[in-house]
Amino acid sequence: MDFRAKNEHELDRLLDDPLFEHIKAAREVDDQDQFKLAIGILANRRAGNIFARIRLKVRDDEEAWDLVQIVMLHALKAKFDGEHIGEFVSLLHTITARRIADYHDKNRLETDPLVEDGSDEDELWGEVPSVEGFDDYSNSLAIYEQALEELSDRHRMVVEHTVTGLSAKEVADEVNAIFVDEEIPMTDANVFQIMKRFRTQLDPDLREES
Amino acid sequence: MAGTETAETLFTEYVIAHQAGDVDPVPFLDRAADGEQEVLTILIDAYLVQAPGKVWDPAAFKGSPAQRMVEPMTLALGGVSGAWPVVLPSLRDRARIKRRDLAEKLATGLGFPKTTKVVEEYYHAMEHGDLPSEGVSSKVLEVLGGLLGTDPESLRREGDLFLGGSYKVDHQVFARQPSFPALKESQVENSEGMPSPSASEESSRAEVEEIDRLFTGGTG
Repeated sequence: MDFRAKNEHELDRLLDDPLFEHIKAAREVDDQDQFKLAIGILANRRAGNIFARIRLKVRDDEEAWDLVQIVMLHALKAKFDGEHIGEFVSLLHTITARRIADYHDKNRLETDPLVEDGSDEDELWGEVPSVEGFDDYSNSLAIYEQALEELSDRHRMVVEHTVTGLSAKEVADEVNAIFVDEEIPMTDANVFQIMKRFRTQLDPDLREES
Repeated sequence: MAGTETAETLFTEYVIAHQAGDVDPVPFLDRAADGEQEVLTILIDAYLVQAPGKVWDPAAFKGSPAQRMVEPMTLALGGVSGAWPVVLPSLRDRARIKRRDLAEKLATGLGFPKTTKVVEEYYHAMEHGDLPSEGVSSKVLEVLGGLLGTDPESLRREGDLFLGGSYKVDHQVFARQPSFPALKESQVENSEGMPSPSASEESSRAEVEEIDRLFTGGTG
């Protein structure tokens, strides 16, 4: 097998999926150092955001990190088994949502643990089931996506760019660069207004009223 | 107690903090006014799904939670015990119990308070990915789950994580060496026509065989 060891900077320049291929290849040639280094690079890259997503719903810091490990391991296992063809990061996020939902189910039903988790591997990285109630983690993104769908293309772009962390000015510039034929260009103030209206779509109390 | 700030303000602050490397959203959620936490959660979650991953920084990585997960994940991925190398040390840490103490309690819980060493070897192998999960009996997982505050079904599922997939492991599985010198000596003596093992040695042998069965004999 043609395997070339890479240093940490070379590995960090690889996207997730080529990095995973390197992990797999390192394992196949039994290069433990490369195997560990590549897993470390992947964990360094992805663990923080997974942890942050989990922390939105799990207040115990230690439990949150434990769940991160489980998510990473299950995602790597799915890739090793060839059970997931899409991007590694989307697999991570799917499993994250599933594990959080399980965590809350388990806490709600301590004496009646779920039996489906892990027993049906398809479910693990299949579509995240929608669950009634705002408390369910997997529902948060569904609410967001549903609210997005109700917007015009232009307003949707405003929201999508805003949640990537761009400033209102940057968002307005991006939108104007795409929607060049609009008579009235987008301004910072418009961005604030659109976001203000959008947030009412996310607010559970206001959603119930509407 | 809820804070007073709006979701929009806190979201902007969180994004700035996140891009500076501070990923924990909880301090921001705590500052949100009543009714604002849910909105903030959705906004931060949507941001995190598409946020770029962390760039490699060897100094920051050293000693980080991400670094601490490498060794157990490596053991799990290279072993035959499923996710136990990840799950068991975490549960044990949370239960604030040392491995040796846990092994003692496990041995006692299984009914072998005087045969701790053998149980400790097996438990060590579980944490290191060396003990095939399918050989570990339900009784072991029931006692272990009770000690670690989890249910045996969860332990079983995590142990079976790599069973049935195409990801095959070429791994030197754990084979416990006889750990009772007295037992080994008595066996040798007996084969050479020396006196038979004492009643206590017979009892020890029976205990070890039963422990072997519990950890390697299957799920029943």
